[in-house]
Amino acid sequence: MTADVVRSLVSTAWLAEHAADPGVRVLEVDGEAARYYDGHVPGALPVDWLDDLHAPVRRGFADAPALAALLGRLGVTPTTHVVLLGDAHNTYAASAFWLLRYYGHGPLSLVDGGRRAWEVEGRPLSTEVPEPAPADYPEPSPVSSVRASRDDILQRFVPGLPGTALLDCRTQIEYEGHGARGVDLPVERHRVPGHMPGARNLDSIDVLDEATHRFRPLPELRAMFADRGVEPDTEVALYCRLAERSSLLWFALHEVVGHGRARNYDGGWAEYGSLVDVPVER
Amino acid sequence: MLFTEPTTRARVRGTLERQGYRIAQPDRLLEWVTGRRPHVLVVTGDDPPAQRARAAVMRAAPEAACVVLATDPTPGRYRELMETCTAVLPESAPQEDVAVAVAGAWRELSCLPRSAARALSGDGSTAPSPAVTVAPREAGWLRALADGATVAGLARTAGYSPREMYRLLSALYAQLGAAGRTEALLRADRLGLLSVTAPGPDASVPRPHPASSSRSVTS
Repeated sequence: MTADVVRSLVSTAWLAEHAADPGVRVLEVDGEAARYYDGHVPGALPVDWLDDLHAPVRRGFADAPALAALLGRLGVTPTTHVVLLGDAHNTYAASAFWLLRYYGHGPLSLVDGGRRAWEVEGRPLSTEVPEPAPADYPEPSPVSSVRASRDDILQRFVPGLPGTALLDCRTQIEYEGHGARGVDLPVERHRVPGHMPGARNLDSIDVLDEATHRFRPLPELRAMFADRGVEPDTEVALYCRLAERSSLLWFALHEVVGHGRARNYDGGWAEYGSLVDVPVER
Repeated sequence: MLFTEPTTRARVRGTLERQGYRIAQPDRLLEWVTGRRPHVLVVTGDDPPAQRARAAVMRAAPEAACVVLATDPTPGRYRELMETCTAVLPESAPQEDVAVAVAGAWRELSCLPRSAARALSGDGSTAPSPAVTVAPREAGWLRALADGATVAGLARTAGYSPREMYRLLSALYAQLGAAGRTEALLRADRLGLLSVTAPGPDASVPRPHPASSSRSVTS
């Protein structure tokens, strides 16, 4: 399969047929890789979302040199068709998809339904960890059109400039500022609960079928976004807390619906909710 | 009053009716609840639709006590649910326990399975819970992870393969009643395991800097 015919969303049946193709590299991206070692799609390699895709010291995703080094270790070249799947509703795999797209990797697919669909269908799992020959992956250049920075958010989206929309991909409870998760202690105000002014709530899980974890039919997805003010020429910024759930919604909007004007704000609420003197609604 | 999937609803309704409760089960729950001041809500399910429904009803009836029957809740989920609910039981709990939880909620008493209550009792404490035994070496791993170590780096230092390290950590997370790394570290912090006064780490594992050992999860 060449880059110009690669589909962003592939089925488990496609994966079963093509996982061993030369030029295809299957990566299982999990919150961490423990489940991978218990059994994975034959030929797949593990990617730990926390450890492999984030910078070791500063806050943020891996930078271009680190990503190039990772892909090289995984035997990936710029022409390798990278196929991603994972656990947790495929959110971590979608996050890896967004990151690779941001760094301009061309042939790229996400497996609809992720690891769960593969398992539910009773497809084979392997415990063998492949050892790919390292490849040379040149340092990539970012594609800024898929990413929203803090400045983008503050200057364009929060003020609600015409033709922009904000989507908050967290649960309704988080959106409304209730039920702080884990480290968020509202009383300390190090990160306040709430949402960005004007943001509409669309829980990322809602774009998936509850039973199969596959994306809902295209008309339903279109309606979900349209109901939240997304028109064909709307510039959309999406955020969650840590950018993995928003990556899933970004994938639904950008790759499945085909809305090219969608940006993932990877700073997420973890960043915005910590900023001093920015507007917050509850 | 119930809004649950049909099978469980019928079972719970039968149990509560035998206890003498008057049960309402309106089709349009949110409309019904507004202004009626129900005493107790019994909710089965904790998936996103159920969470949304529960949040909406609880906003409409803020004085009602809410009993949640959740599917295999983790300690972390028990904690989150108990921020807004009065009682939380696993969906598989015996009907007698459901009746006890509802009776308690009626009297403004909370109810949790003992194992869950024990798991949550470490909150705010600096002493490890007697229910959780973590070897000094494992505590060292947790502190290293809290300080930002990668699992692969930990494996190299401790002399394990990545596969072995992930499996050991996975078992450790399960021992702490956590589903993953972040939840395990939050739990370990509440149990005092990330404190510098906790049992020392394995000699082969670098000890985190004291000032930052718990910073990532508490400050």
